[in-house]
Amino acid sequence: MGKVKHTRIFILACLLWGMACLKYAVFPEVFWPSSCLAVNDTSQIEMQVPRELKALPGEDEDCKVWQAKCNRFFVDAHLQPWGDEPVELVADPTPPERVYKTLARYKVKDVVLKEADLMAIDGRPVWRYEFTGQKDGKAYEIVAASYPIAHNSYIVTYFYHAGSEAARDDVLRSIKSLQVTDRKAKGENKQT
Amino acid sequence: MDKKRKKWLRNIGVIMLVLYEVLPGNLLWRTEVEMTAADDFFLCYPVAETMRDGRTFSFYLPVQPDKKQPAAAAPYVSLSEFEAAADGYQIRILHGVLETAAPAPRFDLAGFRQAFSQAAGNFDVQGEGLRLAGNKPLHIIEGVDGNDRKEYLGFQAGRDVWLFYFQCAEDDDMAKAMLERAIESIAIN
Repeated sequence: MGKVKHTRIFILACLLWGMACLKYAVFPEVFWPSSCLAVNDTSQIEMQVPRELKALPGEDEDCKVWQAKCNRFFVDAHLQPWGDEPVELVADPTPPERVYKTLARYKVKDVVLKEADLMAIDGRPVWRYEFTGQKDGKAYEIVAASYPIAHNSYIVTYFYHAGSEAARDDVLRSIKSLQVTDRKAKGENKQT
Repeated sequence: MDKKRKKWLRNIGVIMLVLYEVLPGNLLWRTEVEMTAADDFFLCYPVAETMRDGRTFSFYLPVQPDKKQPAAAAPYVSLSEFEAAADGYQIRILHGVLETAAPAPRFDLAGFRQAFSQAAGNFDVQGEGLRLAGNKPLHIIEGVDGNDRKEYLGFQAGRDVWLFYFQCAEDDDMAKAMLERAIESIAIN
């Protein structure tokens, strides 16, 4: 390979790097940050969402709540503690009551369950529920995922406009990104 | 492959790379509907009470309210109180039932201060107004007390009287928006 070709590769690499920076500046949701949600003193949930999940100051019926409004969807995360009982896998595809409560909290009406699917994410069985509903006169599609984590149920609910395929792809990518990591190994972790 | 074709293939390759870098996501066409400011997502706790005329008075609060049944004091024969507080704001609501529909309560500053004596303070009235809720007027008095913004609302339909007290920091736009949303959600069905 001649000298000129190396220069060309270098220029192309610089061009691609510049373009990536530009892409990030114009579309900040291209690269998703990991949101760290504290479960207890030793473990935390790491999840990728286009905007970082922010904790609400109050609790919703003993559940810690996080929210983020992204360009394509809105996401709500509820961490429901089960006390001393370990959360067991439920074979029944009926969505837990907490999912319907969350939908009611956001004033979603005419909720219809379209699909319930059992997935394996980070070595955990996760139920994914897909709904349709109406909110403020607009049609939304809702995807909820229920993750059993230690003595808690972590229920994350995504809301997007009905028919938005891009949003659905993003939601599935976000659902699959969940990981439970050690809080101590990460040093100082954010409480958000 | 001749030189011309090679050149075109290279050009197409460069264009594809540039498009891949510039477009969000990937090059596949997908339907996209973005979320806008009109897509309001806030936790809402509904409160609904049946009035003596059979209709339902309802509204949404941003936090779960505590319901109390304080002892009824004149002119009311029964009272119920809702209290909701979170970081930065406080909401108190009284629902009273009059013995008869005749004695209309005063929806003025003195009347509100008597009802919400625990929320007393200096109050500089900044505006007074009316809004319709179920074809009945909803009296509104708003003002400031130091760094706090306070709002009183009064409503009467027959024997049922509703009194609202909202308080939040003057510079807390988020709390103000939450209280506004609660006021806007008042409905009679």
